[in-house]
Amino acid sequence: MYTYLNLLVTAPATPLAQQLIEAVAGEAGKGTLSVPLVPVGSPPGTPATWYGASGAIGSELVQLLKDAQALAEAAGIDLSQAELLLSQSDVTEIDAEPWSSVLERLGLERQQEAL
Amino acid sequence: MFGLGKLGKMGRVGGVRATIASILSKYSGSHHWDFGVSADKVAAGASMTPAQFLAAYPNHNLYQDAQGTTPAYLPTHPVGLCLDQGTGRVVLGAESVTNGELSSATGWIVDTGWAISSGAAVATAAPNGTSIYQAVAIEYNKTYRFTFTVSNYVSGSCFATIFNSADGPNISANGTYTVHLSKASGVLYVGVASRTTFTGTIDNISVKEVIGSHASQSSTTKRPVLSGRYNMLLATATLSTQSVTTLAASYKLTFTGSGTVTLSGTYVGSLVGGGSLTFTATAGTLTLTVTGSVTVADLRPANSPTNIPAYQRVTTSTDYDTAGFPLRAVWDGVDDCLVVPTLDLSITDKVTIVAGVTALSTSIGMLYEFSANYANNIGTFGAYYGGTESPVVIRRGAGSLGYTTAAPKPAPLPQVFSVQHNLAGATHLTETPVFITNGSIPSVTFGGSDDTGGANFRSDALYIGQRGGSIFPFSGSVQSITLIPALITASETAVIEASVNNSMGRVY
Repeated sequence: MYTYLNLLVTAPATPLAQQLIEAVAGEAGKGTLSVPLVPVGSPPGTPATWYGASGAIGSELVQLLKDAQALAEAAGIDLSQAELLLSQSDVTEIDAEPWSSVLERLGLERQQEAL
Repeated sequence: MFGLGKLGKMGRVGGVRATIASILSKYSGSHHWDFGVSADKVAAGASMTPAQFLAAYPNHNLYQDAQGTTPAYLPTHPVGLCLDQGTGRVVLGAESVTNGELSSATGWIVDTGWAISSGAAVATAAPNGTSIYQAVAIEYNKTYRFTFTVSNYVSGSCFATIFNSADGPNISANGTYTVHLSKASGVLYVGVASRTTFTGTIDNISVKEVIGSHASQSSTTKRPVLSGRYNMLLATATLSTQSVTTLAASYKLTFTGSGTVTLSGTYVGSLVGGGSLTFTATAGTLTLTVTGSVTVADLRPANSPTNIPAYQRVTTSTDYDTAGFPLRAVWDGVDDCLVVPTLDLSITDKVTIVAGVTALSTSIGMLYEFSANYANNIGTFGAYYGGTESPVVIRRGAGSLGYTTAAPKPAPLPQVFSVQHNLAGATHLTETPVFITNGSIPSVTFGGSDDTGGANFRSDALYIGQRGGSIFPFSGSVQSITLIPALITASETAVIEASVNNSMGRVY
């Protein structure tokens, strides 16, 4: 029923990705991609360059994250748009690559916040 | 091993035997969010479908989804809903619907496409949005459990609904269904409706309030996940070379066999010919290089619970021994968070909180926070882990923040801690004891002089695992959080702590 994934999307593509996730998953997709990420070493206040999520993804969504054609059909968007969106995404299984490893590979860290 | 049951641990208070349930019942308005699953439920549930499990345990408190349709009871199940057990168990209110058995049409309003006959509601190509329904006394911000049975299913789908407020998921198969709905906003009609030209039969409709304030998360990626894994290694029956991530902490490696495990990276050393090795690692990657025969291998933090088996078979991250290993929800330190929508703590202005926690990161993570940000809101409190002092407990009255910490205890640390906050007096610093017990951790009291009190606790949301649901994610497991709107006695606190400690496999 669920697959456990790390899902990261570049900041410019994030609004569209969030719309599509919510359109497919409904309420269960709201709030996905809520983690702002910046290049390692960025000073506080640096705008996020990526947004991320990590955890359970419903089976109805998992296939769409791997298949541009299926994504285009499900979302009612052009294939080129779907391909562009997936090219702006980084999807890995948590078991294969932990969240910390994904951030290290992409040179990212969580945006700093004041306590 | 856990034969007393999660809520059955007893102590003597005031000359009588007390249990956590009796203490919770004594103080009106108590809350208990239990994120663990007892060993007997795990064992029984391993061979059950979710529907079978709910039939066997109808008052189970954890669900995989926020609407509580599918129970969470096995490793890897996400936790989207944790029902409050404010009296020590899940409590349902009185039946809200009239004639739920549908013995006649009495009490029901029947739309086109539906008919009530022969003791059931029969939908025949019922148009979308049509339903059988009735007015009931649904109250705002309360949660209601709907149960009903679908039979003679032919086509289309149906769903439970609080009109114009909350809908359950689409159902398109025979079976008995459970869904929890809330967010009622003054529209008082409930029923079962057709979503896509439904043809089938509905029977035995029940709608009951689930008493309490429940923690939930609608977004799937932000739900904590049940885990009973303690051994950090994979393929442990016959070990091969592998790497794990360690914190700056003490670990214990054990195995049988004549081979050698050579450790490199965050610790340099070796264990030859089996036995055990306790060592202190730095933070980073530890590589275990295996030569020869290394079997039944186990690596875990040295301060792991004492009442769990010394060896846990782990084949893959999702296939491991569960017998004897307490199952509890793990927050991922990325985006996991559960939210209790509203708690009104202004009535007593006093709270006691007891939590069973294992922090797994040195990064700052909010275990719980009352309101979206205690720094911006008067009458709040919270606790976070991370940094050099953990946990840090905060309370804000009318003035600026008051805070205290226990003796620094770096992660990974399984811990039961208790704290009391009191805003009921004019000043509070000297009258607010903080009990933090975990064997060697002494009791401490709030220090500083910056909280002048004089405020009321708020009516607000409680965030579990992140600030405001979006920042400072907590990384670690949470066995339970108990919140009592009173300053309970030290002996009562000890009873609750002992119960939580027992559920965690005894961490002190």
